Amino acid sequence: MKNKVNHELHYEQIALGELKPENEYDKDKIRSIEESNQKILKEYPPELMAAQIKMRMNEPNRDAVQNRRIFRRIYIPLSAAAVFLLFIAIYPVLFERTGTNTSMESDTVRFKGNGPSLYIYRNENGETELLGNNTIVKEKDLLQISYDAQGARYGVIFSIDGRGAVTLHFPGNIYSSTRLDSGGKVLLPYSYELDNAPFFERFFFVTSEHEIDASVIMEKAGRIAKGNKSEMLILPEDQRQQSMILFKEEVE
Amino acid sequence: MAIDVEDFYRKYGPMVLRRCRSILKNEDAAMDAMQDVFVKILKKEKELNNSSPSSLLYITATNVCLNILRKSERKAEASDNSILDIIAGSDDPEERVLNNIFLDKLFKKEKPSTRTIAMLHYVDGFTLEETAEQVGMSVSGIRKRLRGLRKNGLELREV
Repeated sequence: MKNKVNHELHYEQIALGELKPENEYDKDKIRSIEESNQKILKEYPPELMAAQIKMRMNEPNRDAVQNRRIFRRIYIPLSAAAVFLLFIAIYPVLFERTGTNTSMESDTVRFKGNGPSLYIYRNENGETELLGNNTIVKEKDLLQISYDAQGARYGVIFSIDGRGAVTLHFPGNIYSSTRLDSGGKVLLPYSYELDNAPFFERFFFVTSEHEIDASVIMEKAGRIAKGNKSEMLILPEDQRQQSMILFKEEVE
Repeated sequence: MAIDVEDFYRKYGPMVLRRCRSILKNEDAAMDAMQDVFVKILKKEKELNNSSPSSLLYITATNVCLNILRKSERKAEASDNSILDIIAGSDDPEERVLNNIFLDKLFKKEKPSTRTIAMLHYVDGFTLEETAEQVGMSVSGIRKRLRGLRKNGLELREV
């Protein structure tokens, strides 16, 4: 017997419990929809999506929305196993420069003096390299961000690229707590593949002893991104900031 | 009716995303469109009745995605998944008349909703009645709109 084939909405409504399946073909379709549902909800968690939807509802400025697209596209979430493997790869680099003492005295590559530090590593052909200010990078370079709070309790990490797109790296979204982990260097649970934005990628690390509103920081970042991209943020007295820039190699 | 955004997304988000993916064929664009769909619906949540909003979300997703394609065509961005390609690619003999040599010209003269109607009927396989229900028009209105589309298409072809 030939099964009746309906349009997709029909099957979606069966999967939602609004219609009843009529035949085996329906049931097969529903199973595939349910599997797809699970995959999508795992990939795009409801709490994160709800936060982004709410943010968009309160944000008529379409430019900011455009900027968020960039950050979604270039993030590559890592599994726990991948983070572990990456950590194993990065570990020697971490301590080559700092010894075995996690409360390092200074970051000779990134920021001078004591205090919170941001580290950016490039993983290329299995080799991990700690990048310094003004390093030349290129599209598709795989970067891993790490920070050492060095006593700071809260922080926000973001970057601005040559197109003026702002990418929030930490916390995961503007509604999350900006509480930093203490006790040494912390790898963010993402690697970061550089897209084809031209000229540069400028990273900022804002820290404080007090809770930071990441949405406020992102608003300020957006203003820099649209204006003079070499400026620093204007911050309250209790917040500190550091920045480093990576220059993009032109790819023909 | 007050809507819990997280629950609403959990229930309907995957369906909307699938719909956006099927039209836009691009994950980032589909994710962006999906969020736009929820924003549009949630901004009008007072107008939602208690019945299932799946149809409304589905048709809104269709409209949002077609608008995105239309805008991208206007920007003259090369695209191999445009609305024209989607519609022209259907196997329905009726719409073979509408090949993509003149679909662009054809749709320029049409109302945006005609694209949606054509998409639902010709590509998605909605019946005239179902299409009418989805876009909130009468069946005769849909028939008239499609008849006009075919007529304009034939005239353009002759030209």
